[in-house]
Amino acid sequence: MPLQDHMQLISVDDHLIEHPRIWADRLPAKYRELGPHIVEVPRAKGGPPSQVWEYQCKTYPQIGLNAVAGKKPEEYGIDPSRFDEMLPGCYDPVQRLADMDLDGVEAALCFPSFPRFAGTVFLEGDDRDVALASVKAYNDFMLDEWCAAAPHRYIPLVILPLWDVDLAVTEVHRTFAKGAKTIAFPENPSPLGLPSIHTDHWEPLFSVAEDYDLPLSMHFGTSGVSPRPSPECPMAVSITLFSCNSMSALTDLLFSPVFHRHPKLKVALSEGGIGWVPYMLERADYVWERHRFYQNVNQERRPSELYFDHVYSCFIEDHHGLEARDEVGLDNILWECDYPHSDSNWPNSRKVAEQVFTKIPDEDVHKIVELNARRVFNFPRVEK
Amino acid sequence: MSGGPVAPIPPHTVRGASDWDDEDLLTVAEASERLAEEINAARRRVRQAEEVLGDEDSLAVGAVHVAGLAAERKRLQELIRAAQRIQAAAADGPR
Repeated sequence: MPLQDHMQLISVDDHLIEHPRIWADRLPAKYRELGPHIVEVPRAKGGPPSQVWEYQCKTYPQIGLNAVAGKKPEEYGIDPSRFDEMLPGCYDPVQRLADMDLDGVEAALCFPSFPRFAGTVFLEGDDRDVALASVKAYNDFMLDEWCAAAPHRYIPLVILPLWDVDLAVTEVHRTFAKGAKTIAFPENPSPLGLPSIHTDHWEPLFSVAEDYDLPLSMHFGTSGVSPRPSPECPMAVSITLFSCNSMSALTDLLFSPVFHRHPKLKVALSEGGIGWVPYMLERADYVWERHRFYQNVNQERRPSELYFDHVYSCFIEDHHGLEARDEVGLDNILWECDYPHSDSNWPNSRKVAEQVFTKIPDEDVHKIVELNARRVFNFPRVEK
Repeated sequence: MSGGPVAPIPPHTVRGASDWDDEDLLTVAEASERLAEEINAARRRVRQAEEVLGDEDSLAVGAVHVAGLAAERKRLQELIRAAQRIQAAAADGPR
């Protein structure tokens, strides 16, 4: 059986739901009214009111990154919308551990929910002081409360004040000192109105991430845009194409100056799958071979070389990707289970993983489910 | 090197009206359904293993079944305890 008992599953793409007191307990009193807090709004269909976040006078649903746009809170329609309807492991780190035990998962990297997966909610609102305090409070929660519940089982991911790169660097220094292991960064900052990765703007941030060996975790969707070929297309089209965001992010990175300027910087693409990676690398190399001479791209190193040195991709189930694992890079593949989103396989993630890895050699499986993640995120195993 | 603070475009001005993220959360109800299915399946497997073991003549093959039966019983107990734990924690959740 390729997935052996001694191999620990590390999910590099899970999510947490922020409990109501994260900001209430941590923000200075003067910011509490504008800072994130829970309010109740009636449901269109009746029943107990929905609990939604209010931040700087705007309301946000518990989940559904863009559901707020153009909708009244009564129309959010996101379910569950009350904490007492959620699986407690969503918001309680101790309950989460018990759910992980049942699921056969040893450790997890958890992305935020209300702040969005890269904290981009805090780009909104006029009061930057409140925004900065809210970012810091989230990170303190992540480090002092969530991960502190089991430091060897939670990989600490922090968010940044993305509107000010100097503040972002300061927050990296602060959170690294407290144990941060990775930084959430938008898959593409440009659609958010932020400078692109082709400018010099992010240099100080990428430098400090490189110095501290903190990978940038880029979850798909964090650019705020989704693949939507036609205005009328069903959501199934966008869902099918979500990994195109990761393809776009990767290609943009490989032809940018980022990895040439930061030879030790690491990027983890979250939830994008892996089956497309060999084609994209082949295509990028083809373009580089023929078109690099007249463009502002590095002339020395192929895009695929940069990928293997810098980029990590993850999957839940991806048979094409696993069959082509040598071309994806055995050292570049990570595993995820996406708890507590309803398309996760909980409570059978380990059982499903056993089936997924049936035909894969033991040593490859061990790298994919555990060893690569421990190396990339500097998260050594703690023997019990 | 730094360009200093920037003024991001409000995301609602650049996005479409539809959610990009269809992902929703496991509800207590959905998790309970999953656990109930698993518990029923585990009970079936335990019953089948007990039947096979009852008919088993070969001691060598029997040892394999005994180990399998013990594993199934352990999983069944884990699932039952999880259902009870989640029910209690949900009742004690934030209001």
